[in-house]
Amino acid sequence: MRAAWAIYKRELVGTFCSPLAYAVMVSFLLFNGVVFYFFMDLVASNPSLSGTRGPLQLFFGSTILSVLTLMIFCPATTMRAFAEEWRSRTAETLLTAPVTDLQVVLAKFMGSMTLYAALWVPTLLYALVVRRYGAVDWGALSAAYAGVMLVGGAFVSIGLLASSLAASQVTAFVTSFGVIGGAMFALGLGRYVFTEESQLRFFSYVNLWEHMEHFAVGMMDSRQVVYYGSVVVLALSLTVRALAARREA
Amino acid sequence: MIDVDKLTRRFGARTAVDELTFTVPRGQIVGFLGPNGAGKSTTLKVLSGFLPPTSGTARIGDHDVVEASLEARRLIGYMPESFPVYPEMRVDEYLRFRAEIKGVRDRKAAVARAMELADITDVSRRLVGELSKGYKQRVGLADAVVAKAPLLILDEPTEGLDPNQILRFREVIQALGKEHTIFLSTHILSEVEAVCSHVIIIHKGKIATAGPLDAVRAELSGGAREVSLVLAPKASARDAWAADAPKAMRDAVEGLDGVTVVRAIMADAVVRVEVKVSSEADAVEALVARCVGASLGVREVTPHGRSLENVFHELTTRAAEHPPTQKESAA
Repeated sequence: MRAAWAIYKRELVGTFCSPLAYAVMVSFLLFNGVVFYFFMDLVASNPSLSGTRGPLQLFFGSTILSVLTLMIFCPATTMRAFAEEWRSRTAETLLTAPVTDLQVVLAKFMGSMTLYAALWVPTLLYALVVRRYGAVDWGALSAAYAGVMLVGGAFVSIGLLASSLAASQVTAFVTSFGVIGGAMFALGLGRYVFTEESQLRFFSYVNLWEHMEHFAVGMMDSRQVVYYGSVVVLALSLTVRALAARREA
Repeated sequence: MIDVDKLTRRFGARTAVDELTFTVPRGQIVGFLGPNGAGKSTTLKVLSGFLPPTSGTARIGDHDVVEASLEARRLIGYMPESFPVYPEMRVDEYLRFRAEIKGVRDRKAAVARAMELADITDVSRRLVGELSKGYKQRVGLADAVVAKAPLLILDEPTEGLDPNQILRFREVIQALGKEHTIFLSTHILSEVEAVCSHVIIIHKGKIATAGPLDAVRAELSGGAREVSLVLAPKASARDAWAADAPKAMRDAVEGLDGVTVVRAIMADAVVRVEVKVSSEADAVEALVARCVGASLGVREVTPHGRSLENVFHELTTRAAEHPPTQKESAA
């Protein structure tokens, strides 16, 4: 695992020494700052809203904006991971070192997750802002952050898979955005289309929007952990396979 | 150290490496020579564990590059063609990273030694992306040697270096050859002649010839060698030479066994002649004796060993016309 640790450290250097990371962070904060302002303003001007849902609950769940954040920014943290290694041919030195493909994939995953987590850290300030004007449900907030990391983990691994197959960072971004939006998000919409009980149960199980809503108010159960955990395992295994397949072709 | 058996690698319909079989014994410096697109880099990529072979096997030490890839890779210091780098890292930082993923224990000392060997200590704090191509190549060499792997596989290591750097590089390779087995690819023949004891020449994915450098050089010479002469015939004979120098030369060597006049050109009262002579030593001696006897004014005699350049050219152009003969081993 020492090799994986070394690759992880290098990932951080590569990530935080590139302007891309800062461009992503700035757009993330800009976008979410506006969204948060909007919800603060909404709650302030509609006191009736603030019964169960404070601005933080609205921010993390309730609207499509939080889902959109995940769909856009997860691919942005991973698009560089493998696509850049293939483009610059450093994949050749990396993958001929005595390290397994799995170690490389795990290190890249942790690297992307670190950037992803770094995106969210400044949003803790939102909670401090809310606390100044009212109460913060810290339990619900922890669930919201855990949910954001859980869903983010799944999307980041899908992003890594796309990056391992793509010829360029742009292709990687578009592919993972497409897969996340088309499969992960759209699948959940079946919840509002089908009416039969068993179908409803299935689509409810995979409904991202609903999950985010639950996380935001402090509801998290093992089903969601299993669901997103499985996506992580599946996508990372496919990434390992993709690295081998790409060299076989 | 390297044992390759019927190694084939295809990319779609294109066969880059076609049933290659050769061995590289421990302790040798072997040149892997071929024109661009001959399959050199593909072969090295398979040996380094980057590309899986389509069929056939390759072993590094006792380890198959597919079955025991990690063990095989631990024995190799690999430097890919036009060494790819992470531009945002500093040279020492990059080498420490490489030493760490290669499992080197005393990284500080290993990196210092590798930088000194590759002569890049002065740029250790520079960003790799800002270095010139020559320096990048040297970072690649430092990377290859940092873990003291017993086998160094270098893909066109001197590409992009200036003449001074090339000379220095060769010295380093020769020094490294005392401790490592080295397998280096190149299309520069003088490189092989300068540092390698053995050579494998490939063309269109197949081995054209292989063996010790001298043997390969001699193989196609057919016993003949070329000698060039510079003559200054007496003033009285100059008209005859000026009229038809080749004929005059042929007359001069008439009756000498195994001497063929290739060309003779007269300019400024001096005749430049090239002749082919059979390899018996006295053919050259007899030729010179004849010229001296005829008062042809011998100014220079230069015997040419058969250069690898000629062998290479002949092999690769001949191979284009006829299927090449496959040799089993470089040993």
